[in-house]
Amino acid sequence: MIGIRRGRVITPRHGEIDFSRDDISIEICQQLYEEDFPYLAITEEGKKELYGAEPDLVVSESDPVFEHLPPAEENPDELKTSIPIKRKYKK
Amino acid sequence: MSIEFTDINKNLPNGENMGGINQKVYFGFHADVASWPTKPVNPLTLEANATLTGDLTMKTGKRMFELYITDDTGEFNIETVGEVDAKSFVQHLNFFHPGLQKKILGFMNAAKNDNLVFIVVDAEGQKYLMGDSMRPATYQGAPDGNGTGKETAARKGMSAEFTYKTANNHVYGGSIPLTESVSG
Repeated sequence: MIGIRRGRVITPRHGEIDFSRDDISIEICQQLYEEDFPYLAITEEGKKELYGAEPDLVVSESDPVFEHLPPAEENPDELKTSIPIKRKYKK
Repeated sequence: MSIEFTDINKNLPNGENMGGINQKVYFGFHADVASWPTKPVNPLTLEANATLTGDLTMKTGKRMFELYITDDTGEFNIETVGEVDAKSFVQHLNFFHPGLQKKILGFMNAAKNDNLVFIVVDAEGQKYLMGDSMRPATYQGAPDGNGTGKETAARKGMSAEFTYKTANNHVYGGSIPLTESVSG
């Protein structure tokens, strides 16, 4: 259930249902879900069982692979890079 | 107006047309409602023009409550009011609750000057929502009195009348949450 504690609700078609009970039939739950009953959400397992639907893929935004460079400084002639440059000096 | 008129025939499913309302009415504070069903917008049919869409839901920690009424004392009545070109409706709910217990006295104390919402169910199960996002149902008085009565055979208890002013009359097809809402 979503948005409400498990308990009594007067439903449009089935009258009063006490959702704290564990013996509510799947058919009633399916009808309520299909009639946009606001307090029931379907699980991925339920979607697969009732509608044969594959679970939705959840794509989450990952961390950026590269870090952003700091803002450019005032001296444009100086080349900035994120890779340290090794300089060779003549002895 | 884009609505289409149709024939309105005698339509009594299963021959049913009992009067009166159920022995329970449902009530809550108007301020505790989180969302209201929507009224018809540019409906195409007569039936759609009298149908609310969606559910009344309550704010977190709030719910609707039921109130028992003595059989054959409850009435839902629609009064037409207003001048020409300004007609509207006042819905009336009248009922009698038996006894003078503290709960019903406390309810009347709390309800008499506050804004409420009621859901009334008629004998065929059709529901009427008294209240919307703009207007509540309010207490008007005790049409059949409050008190003990005179004789021992008198009916002791509380009567009450609540009204709701509305531009149109609608049927509510949603649910009635008798359990507290929770967030999420």
